[in-house]
Amino acid sequence: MKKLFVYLLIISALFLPAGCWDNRDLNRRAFVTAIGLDAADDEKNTCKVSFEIIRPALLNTINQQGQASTIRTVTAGNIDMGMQQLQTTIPRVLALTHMRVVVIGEKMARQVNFKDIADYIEKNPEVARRVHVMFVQGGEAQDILKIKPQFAMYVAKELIDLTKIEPSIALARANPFSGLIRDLRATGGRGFGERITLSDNGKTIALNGGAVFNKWKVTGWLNAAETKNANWIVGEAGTKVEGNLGQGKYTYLCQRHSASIKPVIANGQLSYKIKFKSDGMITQEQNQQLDLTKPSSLNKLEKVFSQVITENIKSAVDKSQKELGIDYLGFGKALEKSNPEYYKKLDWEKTFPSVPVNIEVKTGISMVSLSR
Amino acid sequence: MNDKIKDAVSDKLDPRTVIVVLIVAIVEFELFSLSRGVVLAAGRDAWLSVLLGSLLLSFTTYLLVSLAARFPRENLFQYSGKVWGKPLSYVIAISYFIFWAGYLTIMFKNSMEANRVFFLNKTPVIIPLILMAIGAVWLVSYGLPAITRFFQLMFPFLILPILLIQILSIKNVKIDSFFPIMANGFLPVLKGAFVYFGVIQSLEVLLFLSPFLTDVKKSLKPSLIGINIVNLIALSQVVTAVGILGVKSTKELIWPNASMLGYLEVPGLPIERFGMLLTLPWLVAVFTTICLVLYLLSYGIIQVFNFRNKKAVIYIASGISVLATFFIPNFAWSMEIRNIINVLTWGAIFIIPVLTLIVAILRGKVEYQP
Repeated sequence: MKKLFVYLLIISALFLPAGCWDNRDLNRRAFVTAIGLDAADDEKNTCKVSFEIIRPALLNTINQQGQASTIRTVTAGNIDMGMQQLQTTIPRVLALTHMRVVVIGEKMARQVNFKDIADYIEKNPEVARRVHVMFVQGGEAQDILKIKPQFAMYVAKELIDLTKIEPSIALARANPFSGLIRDLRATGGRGFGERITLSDNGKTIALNGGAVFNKWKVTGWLNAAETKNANWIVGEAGTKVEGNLGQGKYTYLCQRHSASIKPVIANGQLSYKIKFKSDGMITQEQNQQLDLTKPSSLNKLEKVFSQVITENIKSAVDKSQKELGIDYLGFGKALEKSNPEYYKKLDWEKTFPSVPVNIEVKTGISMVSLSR
Repeated sequence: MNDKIKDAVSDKLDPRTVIVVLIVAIVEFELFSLSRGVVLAAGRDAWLSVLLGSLLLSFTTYLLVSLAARFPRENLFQYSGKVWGKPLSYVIAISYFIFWAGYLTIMFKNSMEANRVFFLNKTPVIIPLILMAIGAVWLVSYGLPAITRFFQLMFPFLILPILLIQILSIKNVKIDSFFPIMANGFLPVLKGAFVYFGVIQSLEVLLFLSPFLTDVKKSLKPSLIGINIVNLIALSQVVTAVGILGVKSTKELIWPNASMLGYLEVPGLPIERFGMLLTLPWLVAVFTTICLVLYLLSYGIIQVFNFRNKKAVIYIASGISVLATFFIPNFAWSMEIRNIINVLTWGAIFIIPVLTLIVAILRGKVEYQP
């Protein structure tokens, strides 16, 4: 009798399983894939929140619009309030489990402390922290979300596909949310995030360049060429550079490189040495052909490209120190690691722009491609 | 106090089972949050704290096995009367009961919180708790050998996902996150080791498992292996948290190692969200530890107060613990209580057993002379 009672209790418990309350029918959910944030001219509702929502029925069909998503924009105090407002117009439960991109317009990025937006991403258990946060230079996030994707069924997918090749493109700063928030926290708000722009009369998106942070807000931009220079120090992507020797113009493909920032304290004076090493191949010769099977030819070209890369790195350092005055290349972090006591004594923001930086570049050419 | 152990001591266990018992018993929900506590104390040197704490835990394990080996057919509550005298042995037993009841309550509370955040946010919190408690009562009523065998069955479901998570995480670890080493001196490392030691609840099971082992003396090696596998898991948790999230984010996040899964991305794998890898080990870890602590609490009460109705005590102990969770007003309080329990752990796994060993040696108390 007692056993029967226990069995009945257990069987009756089966009627109360979690599914009754937490039943999540896929057909009853609306998946948000991207969120756009723009500043609104409203004292109370300071934020225009745009959502890209997937229309599952269109995912496997070719339709005239060529897009399987819809973009909705609401004006609210923050993302949560915006979602709540949007939910009243969507007949399905909004879900953030497939959200991959947060796009932030320039005005918003310059006004709002990024910590507040990051807090939403980190606190919400539905949001995967491997989202990419992109900052729009000279435009609004909703304009990015409203473009017609060219190679994907919805905008977020196109953006994510771009981020996947981003680490191999030196013209772009590849730094997903995880890396950005880590840098910002470690430096008290200095960082180097991903930049997105609209080109071709607002029809094409370009994920290149970088957004420079100071005190948790975007305070400057790097264009593609400047980002390429900065990536010699902070990036991993291989890239091509051109150099001149005599009448000839040569293209060098840097396949591997490493850079280290070493603080040097001599006689109480701080300076830095950037040590850079690379290896790659010559991919093109114009105007003049050298015999690349001769070691002396390669030596000459190595010197040329060492000089070119030195100048690139110097430009990157100058941009950071003299033009923007923000240490987004990691000089402060290097000093803090090697000499934390010394770093603590400094007012880094004031010290950084005038610290001498010496650059030592060693370029290697180990291949000449398929013809000499 | 009753000198008899109420469950089947005739069902003897091989000393090698201690490896699994220790791992499954110790690993629980705190596995996903211990990095935060240690990093708050030691910063980027948290890994050194875990190594230091591991040395101390290994030494403590040696002392616990030495104590158990002096009384191979008795558990702590049985021989504490001989070592300390009756009144003090009651004080010791009641101290353990309070510790276990608090620990059991906080584990139920943590399960409730995790359910609300990660898994079943609309389900009334009492439902999963009751289901878990019923399962635990059923298992515990069969005694420690049955619990041990259940642990052996569950072991792969606990260890394999954890191993997989660590393998997937390791390539994202940034080594420069750990430098400079000991920039703030040795004191934070020591504090971190103190915190880490306090996280390792349930090591005291060694003092209650001995009567069920065929040869207690042979359990030293498995015990050391078991505790050091736990140390290795903890070390990998701390290394991946600091190496992937960075020191400051680890301090900010409530469950850094659970949050860390959201950062993982493995190119080429169709799986996008690795949070699901957490579900199984989390459930196994929490349920098994709840079972063990419920066993220690209820069988301890049965033994010390000589109760006859074993099942009633188990039901009441689990029922009170489940109900007590509703008296913890919010998450901040449950963290406070968890911190208190972590400090009390020092008493449960180190101070009381080591003092008992010292007094037993001084007074020449030994149950069995080979």
